[in-house]
Amino acid sequence: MDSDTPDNKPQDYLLIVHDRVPGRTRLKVPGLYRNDRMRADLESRLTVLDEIRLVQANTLTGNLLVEYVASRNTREMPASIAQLLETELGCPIIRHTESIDRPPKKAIGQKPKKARRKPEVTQYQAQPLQLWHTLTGVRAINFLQGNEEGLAQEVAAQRLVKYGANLLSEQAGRSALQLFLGQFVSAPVAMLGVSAVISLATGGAADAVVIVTVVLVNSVIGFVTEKSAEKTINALGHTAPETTIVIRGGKKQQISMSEVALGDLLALAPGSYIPADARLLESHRLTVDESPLTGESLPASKNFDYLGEEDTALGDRQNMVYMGTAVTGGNGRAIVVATGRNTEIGKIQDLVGVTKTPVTPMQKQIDEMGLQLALLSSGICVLVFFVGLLRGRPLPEMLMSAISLAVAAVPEGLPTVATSTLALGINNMKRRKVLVRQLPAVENLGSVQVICLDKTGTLTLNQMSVVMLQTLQSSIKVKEDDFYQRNVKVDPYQSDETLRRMMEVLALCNESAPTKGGDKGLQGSPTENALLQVAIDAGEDIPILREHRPTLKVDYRAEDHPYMVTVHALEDGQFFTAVKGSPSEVLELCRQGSVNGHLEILSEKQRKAILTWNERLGADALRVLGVAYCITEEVAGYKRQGLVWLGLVGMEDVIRPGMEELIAQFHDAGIETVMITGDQSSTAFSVGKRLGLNGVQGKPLEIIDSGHLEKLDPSVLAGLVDRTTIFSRVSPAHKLLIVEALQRSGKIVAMTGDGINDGPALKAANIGITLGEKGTDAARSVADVILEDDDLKTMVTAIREGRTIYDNIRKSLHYLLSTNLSEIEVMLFSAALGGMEILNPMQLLWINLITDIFPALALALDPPEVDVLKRPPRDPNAAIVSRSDYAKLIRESGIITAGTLGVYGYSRLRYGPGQAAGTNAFMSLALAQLLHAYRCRSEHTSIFDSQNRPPNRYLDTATGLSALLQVLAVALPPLRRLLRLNPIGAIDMMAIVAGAGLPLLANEAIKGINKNTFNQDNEK
Amino acid sequence: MITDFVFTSQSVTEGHPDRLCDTISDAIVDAFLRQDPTSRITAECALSKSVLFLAARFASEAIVDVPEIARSAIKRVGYRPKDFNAAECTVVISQIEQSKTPREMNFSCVEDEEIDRITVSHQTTVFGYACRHTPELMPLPITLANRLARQLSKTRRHADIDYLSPDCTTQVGVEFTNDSPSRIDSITLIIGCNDPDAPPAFAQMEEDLLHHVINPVFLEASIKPDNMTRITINPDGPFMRSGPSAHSGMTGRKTDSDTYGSFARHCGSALSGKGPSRIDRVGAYAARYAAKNIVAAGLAQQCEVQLSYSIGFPGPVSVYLTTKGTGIIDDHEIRKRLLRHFDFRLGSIVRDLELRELTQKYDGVFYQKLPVNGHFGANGLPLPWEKTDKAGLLAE
Repeated sequence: MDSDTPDNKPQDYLLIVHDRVPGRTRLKVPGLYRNDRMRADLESRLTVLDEIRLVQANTLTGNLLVEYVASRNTREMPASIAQLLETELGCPIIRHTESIDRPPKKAIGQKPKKARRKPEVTQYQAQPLQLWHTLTGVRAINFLQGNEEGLAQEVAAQRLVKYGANLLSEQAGRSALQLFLGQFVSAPVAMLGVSAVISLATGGAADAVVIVTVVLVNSVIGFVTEKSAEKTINALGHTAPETTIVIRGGKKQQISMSEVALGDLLALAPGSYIPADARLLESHRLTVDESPLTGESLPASKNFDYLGEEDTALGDRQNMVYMGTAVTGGNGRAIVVATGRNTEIGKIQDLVGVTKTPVTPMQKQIDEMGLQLALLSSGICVLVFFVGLLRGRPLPEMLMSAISLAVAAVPEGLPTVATSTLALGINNMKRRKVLVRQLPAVENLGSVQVICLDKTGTLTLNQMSVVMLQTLQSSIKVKEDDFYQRNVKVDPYQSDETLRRMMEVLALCNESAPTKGGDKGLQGSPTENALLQVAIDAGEDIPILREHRPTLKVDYRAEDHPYMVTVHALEDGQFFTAVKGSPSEVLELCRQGSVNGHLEILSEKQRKAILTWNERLGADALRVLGVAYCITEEVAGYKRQGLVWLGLVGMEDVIRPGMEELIAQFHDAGIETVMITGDQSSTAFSVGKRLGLNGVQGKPLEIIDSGHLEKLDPSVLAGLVDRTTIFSRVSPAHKLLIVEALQRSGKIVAMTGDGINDGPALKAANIGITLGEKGTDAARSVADVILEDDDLKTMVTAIREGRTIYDNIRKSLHYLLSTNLSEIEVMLFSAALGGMEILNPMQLLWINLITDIFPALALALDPPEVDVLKRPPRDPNAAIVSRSDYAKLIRESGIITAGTLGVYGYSRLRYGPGQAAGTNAFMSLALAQLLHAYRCRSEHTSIFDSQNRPPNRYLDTATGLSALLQVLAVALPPLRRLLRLNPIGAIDMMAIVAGAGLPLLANEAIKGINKNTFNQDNEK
Repeated sequence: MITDFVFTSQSVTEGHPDRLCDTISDAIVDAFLRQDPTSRITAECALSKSVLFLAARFASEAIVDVPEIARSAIKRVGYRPKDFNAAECTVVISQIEQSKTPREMNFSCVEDEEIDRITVSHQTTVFGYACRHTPELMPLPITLANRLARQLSKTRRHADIDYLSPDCTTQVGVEFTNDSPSRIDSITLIIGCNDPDAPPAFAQMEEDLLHHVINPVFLEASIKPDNMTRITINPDGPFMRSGPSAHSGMTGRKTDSDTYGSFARHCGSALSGKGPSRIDRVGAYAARYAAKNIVAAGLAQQCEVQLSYSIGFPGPVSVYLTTKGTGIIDDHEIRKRLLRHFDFRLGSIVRDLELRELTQKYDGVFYQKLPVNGHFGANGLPLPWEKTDKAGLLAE
C-alpha cells in the first residue's frame, strides 16, 4: 500500500484506499489492525444496512472492504454507509488526494482536547478540520451534510448551538486595573517614591503624604484620560457589516453575520462581504479582495474548479473564500466550512491575542522627544544637586530638591496629552459625521496635500439620465421623458425603426430591473437605470420583452473589453445579440449600420461621422455609449459575424451642488485637487473647468489620458503626476497606480472611492475616504475615513479637525515645555545663587500639579483657529517641535523666569532671603505659567487681537480653577503651612501680578513684532 | 563663383516621431477649425516611448477630445501595436483656454481698413522660394527626397512588404552643373525594420525597394539615376527598432524637409500645430505664393522672397526678394510689381487664401495632411498658396 500516511502520526481519519470499481470501496481504518473485536463490531453493524452487499474487515492489513449497491450516476459510496462509518468510528472519510488539517501542535493526541481549549470554547463542539481546498465541491457538501439548496432553518439553528455563533473573539484590551497600575510604572513616579522615602527618613511625614497625594492625583488624571482615549481608539475599525445574505432552504435571506452556520450557502456578488470561510461551489469571473488576510492589494481571482494540494498557500487556494474579505467582481456560490474563531482570520486574531493601541508617527516622535527631555532635565537636576552640595547644603535636602525638580521638569504629561487629544478629536469628528477608522488617519488628515476625487458619485450625484440619442439618420433629444427631433416632439417608435431596435437593445443588454410593485423605481446602477428608463419612456414593456427574449449569455463589461454583450433567444430559434459600450470599441466590432431599419455596410465616412458625434456629445460632458446588435444562428455567432451599428446614447451625470465652492476651499487650504474619471478627456475638461479645478488663476488644466496606465513605467508616471489635475479614461484599477505615483512624488494623498474596485487604492492612500451610505462593504472595510452623511463637503470639516488636532497637540507641547523650562531655569539660578533655595520641593510639586495638567488639556480642546483652512498643509516630514520652536521656548521661558526672579529680587531686598521672598516667587511663577497658556493658543494671533480668535471656555475654566487653587494655597493656613508659604500683603500682591502678567505681555508683544517683520518679508 | 556642386536634401516618412508629432499637432488644428473656423489654436507635442505630451492653447467655441484626435492620428500611421499602441499610450495634455481677440474672426468679407487693425502677434522673418527645377517650381533634391518618403509609405500600405516600418528616412543628392540639376548623385534609404525577429535578407530588401520605391519615383522624372548613381540602403543594416519606441519626437523639428530641403532659406519656427492666425505659419505660405508666382510669370529662374513681421503691425515691416541674378528684369522692378499685386498683411493672407475655411471645405481634414505630403509643391492637395493665378498680373 503506497497510500500510507506520509509520516507516523496516528491516523485519525478513514482513508479511501481504493474505490475505482463501482460498488466496491476499500478503506484503511485506524485501530483495526489486529483488533478482532473491532472487526466483528464493524461487520455486524454495517451488514444491517440495505445497500450493503458484503463487508470484510481485515485485521492483518487494517483495511475494510465494503461492497454495496452502486447508484448509476455516482461512484461514491452511498451516504448512509459513509455516515454510519463516520459516526461509528468518529473520524471522517477522506480520499488520499484529500488532506485533513492537523494543527501543528505537539500536544495533540497526548492531552485530551478539552484541556487545551479555553473554557468559552469547550461548550461548543470542535468544527471539522478539513483542508477544504483539497476537496471537490461535492465532497465538501457531503462532509458538511449540506445540500445545494442550503441548510434548512432548523438545521442551521442546531448547528449554531453545536458549533457556536459566527463571532470572532473580541480582542481584550488592557483591563482597567492594568491601565491604572501602568500609571505608576514610570520614572517620575519612581523618583517621587524615592523622595517620599527620603522625606520619611528625614522626619518629614507631611512631605511624604503630599508626595503620595501628588502621585495619586497624577495617576488618576492619567488613568481617566487614557481610559477614555483607549476606549475611543479601540472602537476604531469596527465597521464590518452586520448582516449578510445566505441561501437557506433554497431561498436567499438576510441574516445577522453571527448566525452564519457551517454548511450555509453564500451567494457571492460584487461588493459582498464574506461572512465566514467557505468552499466555492460555483464561480464566474470571481475576484476577491483578500488584503485583510494576505496583504495583497490586488484582487485574487477565484475558481471553483481548482483543486489544491495539502500545502497550497492560503493566497493560492482559488477554490476558497475567506471571512473578512470582499468580492470585487464576478459572482459565485460557496458553502461555509468554518465559522467564527475557526476561520483563517479568527486563527490570526487568536494568535495576535491582546491588541495594543496603535501608535502614530507623531506619538512616536513625542515619546522620543519626551525621553530626550527627561534625560536633559535629569542632567540639569544632577547639576543642581552637585552645585547645591558644593554650596554646602545638606545632602538629604538637596536630594529632595533635585528629585522634585526632576519631577516638575520632566514633561511626563506629553504622551497622555497627545493620546487624549487624538481621541477627543476622533469623538469630535464623529459628531460631525466623520468616522475615523485608523488612528494615524487623524494626523494624516492635517497634512493631506493632494486629494484625489472620483468624479462619478463623489463630485456628481451619480444619477444618470439619457439626454441624447443619435442614430445614423437622426438625432433625438430627450427631455423629461419626452423625445424631440429638431424641437418637435416625436414618438420614437413611430419615427424610426432603428430607434425601436435601439430601445430593445437598451432594455435587454441591461443589468437593472424594474422594482416589483410597478412603481417607477429601478434597481441597478445609475447608467443601467438611465438606459432602462429611456426604453420605458419610449414605450417598451420591459417584463414582456424580457420574457419573450430570455437571456442566454451575459458578458459583462470588463477591464479588457469595455462593452457589455448579452445574447437572447428569439422565438424563431435564432439568437439576438445586444451590445452596448464604449462607442469606438463597439464601432470597431460593427460592419453594418442600421438606417431606419435597413442594413447598410458602414462606410468610412459614416464611421467618421459616428466618431465626430461621439466627440461632440462627449464635449457636452455627456457619457456616451455605442449601441449595436446582430441576429445570428449560433449563440456565440456575434464574434465572427460583425455587428450592426444602431447609434449613440448620451447620458448626463449631474454635478452635486456646492462642489465648486468645495474645490475652492480645498485650494484655499493649499490642497491640490485631482479628478479621476473614466470619461474621455473632453468631458473631463469640461467638467473640470466647471468645477474650477484649475484654480482661480486659471492655470492650464493638465490632463493625463490613458486607458492603460499600467503600461507606463511607474517612475515616469510619478514624474508626470506632479501638476496633473485630471486623469481621464482611467479604469478604477488604475487608481492604485495614481495614488502610488503621487506618493512617489512625495505627496500625502487622500483618495475618495466607494466602489468595490477602489479597495486597493483606498488602502494605499494616506487617507482613504469613502462615503457612508453609498460605499460598498469592500470600500468601507479599508477606508480610513468614512463620511457618514454622504457629502464630500464634510471632508473640509475632517481636514479642519485634523489640522486642529495637530495644532492643539503642538500648543499643549509648547505650553508644557516652556513652563517646565522656566521651572528649571529658576532652580538653576537658585542653585547658582546658593543659600536658601527659591522654591522648595513641595512648591515645585504643587506647581507641577496645578499648572501642568489642566491648562495643557484645555489647550488640547482649543477651537480651530480662524485661518486653519487658509494655510498650506504642514510639511509631513517636519518635526513636531522644530529648531526654531526650541529657540522660542527658551526665549519665552527665559522671560517668565526673569519675571519671577524680578519678583524674588524685589522681595528679597524687602524681606531678605527666606520664606517671604520664596512665597512671592512661587506665586509669581505659578500665575505666570497659567497666563502663559494664553500665549500658547496661537502662533499667529495674540491676546492683543483677540477678536481674531474664538474663545476657549475650557482654558478659561482651567486657568481660573488653577488660579483659585493657587490663591487658596496662600489663603488657607493648612495648605500654607504645608507649602511653607507666608501670607502676602497688598504690595506683594501687586508685585506678583506684575511678575506674572508682564512676561505674558512681553511674549505676546514679541510675537506681534515677529509676525509683522515676517509679513514685511513676505511682502517684499 | 562655384556653379558645379552636389546638393543633398533629406526627408522622413509618416511614422518618424518628429513627423508624427507634426501630424498630430495639425490634426488638432484641424479638429478645432472644423468645429469653429475662427478658432485660435496652438498645439505642440512631444513623444517619448509610449507617452505623448501635448500642450494646447486655444480660444474657440469648439470642444475637442484632444487625446482622441492624437490617438487616431497615431492609429492612422499604423505602427505595430507591439511597438506603439495608439490605444495604450498615455497622453499628457496641458490645456489653456484663452479668450478670442480681434484676430479670431471671420475674415472672408472684412474691409481693408479692418484688416489694418489686425496686427500680428509674433515677430518673425519668413521666406518663400521657387525655382524651375520641377514643374511645381520646387528645388529638385527635396522634391525627390519627399517623393521617396511618400512612396515608401505607399509601398508599405499597398505592396506586400511587411518588414517595412512606418519610420524610414530618405536622402537624395543631386549634382548641379552650371547651377542647374544635371544628374542624380546618390540616393540613400534608411529602412526601419518592422519585425526584428525576422530581418529581411539584404538582397531581398534592395530588390523590393528598387522595384517598389525608387523606380516608380523616377519613372516620370526628367533626371533619372544613372549607372554612376550611388544607391545606399541601410549601410548599417536594417534598423531593428524604429518609431517612437526607439527615438523621441517633437513638433517642428523637420522644418527643413517641410520647406525647401535647405536649398533656400527657411524660418526656424515650426509650421505645424499653428492655426491660421499665426503669422509664422501663414507668412511662409504667403511668401511661397509670391515667389512661385514670380517664377511662374517668367520673371526669373529662381526667386526667394523674404517677409519680416513685427508685433503690433498688420503687415510686414520689410519685403525683400532676390532672384540671384536670374531675373529678366531688375529685382527692384519685380518687388514693385509684387507689392502692387500682393497684400502681405495677416488679415489679407488669411482672407485671400481662405486659410480658415480650408478645413471645413475639405471635410475636416486639411492641415494634418501637410506634414506628410509636404507644405509646398504639388502633391495632390489643392494648396491655395501653390496657385499661380497672379503670374499673369506680375508678367505685365
